[in-house]
Amino acid sequence: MSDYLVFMSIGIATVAFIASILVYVRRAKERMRHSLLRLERIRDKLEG
Amino acid sequence: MLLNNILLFVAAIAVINVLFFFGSPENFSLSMSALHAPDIILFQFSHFDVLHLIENLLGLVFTAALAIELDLKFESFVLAYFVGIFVVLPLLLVFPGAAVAGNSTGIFGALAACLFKARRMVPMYVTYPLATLFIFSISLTSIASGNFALSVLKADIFHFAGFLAGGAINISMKENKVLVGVCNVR
Repeated sequence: MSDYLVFMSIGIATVAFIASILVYVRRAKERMRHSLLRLERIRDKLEG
Repeated sequence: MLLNNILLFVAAIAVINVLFFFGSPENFSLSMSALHAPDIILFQFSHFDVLHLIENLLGLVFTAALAIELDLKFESFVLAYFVGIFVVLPLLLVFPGAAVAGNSTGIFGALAACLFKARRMVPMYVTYPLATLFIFSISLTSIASGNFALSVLKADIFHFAGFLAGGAINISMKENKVLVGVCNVR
């Protein structure tokens, strides 16, 4: 039974690892989106 | 983007897996000692117990969510998934005593494809070793607890082979070399 619990927790930890990468990617995309918007504003300013 | 191809594919796989688990009286696990022709295709839908099924479903859903978030091409996802699954067949010649069931190797293959695509955001030198550690953690904990069994190590080797195969097939794809980690941020 204890082996079963260990296997279950490792399975859950692996799923949590995938979920954490997903969260990190979402945040990175958010940062990239903000940077892109900032660059677009700078370009618009320079173009007058 | 509710009706994504990857989402539909994953939903279809999940439904087939659940139907096989609760509807089929037969276990289609693949083993060299009792090899039946249908098992070569059907082993991926068969699971040993309910926990095995739930973990694989959860892993598949989260990997699909990651693939959708990364704008991974449907073809890349499916290719990595099936290469990950069928890499088991040649490995069974190396480990003839092992019995294989489930699509976990395919999930690790698809995960490797996702991690390759995400390499600009999360570097591969972080994600690949971490994923490898998670894959072998069952063996490591069984060694630490003194209950080491060769079957556990074999299962981890199968998962790792699926992970490597899925990663390798995506890294070797020509368009992935040209489009270096590009994903739509809009």
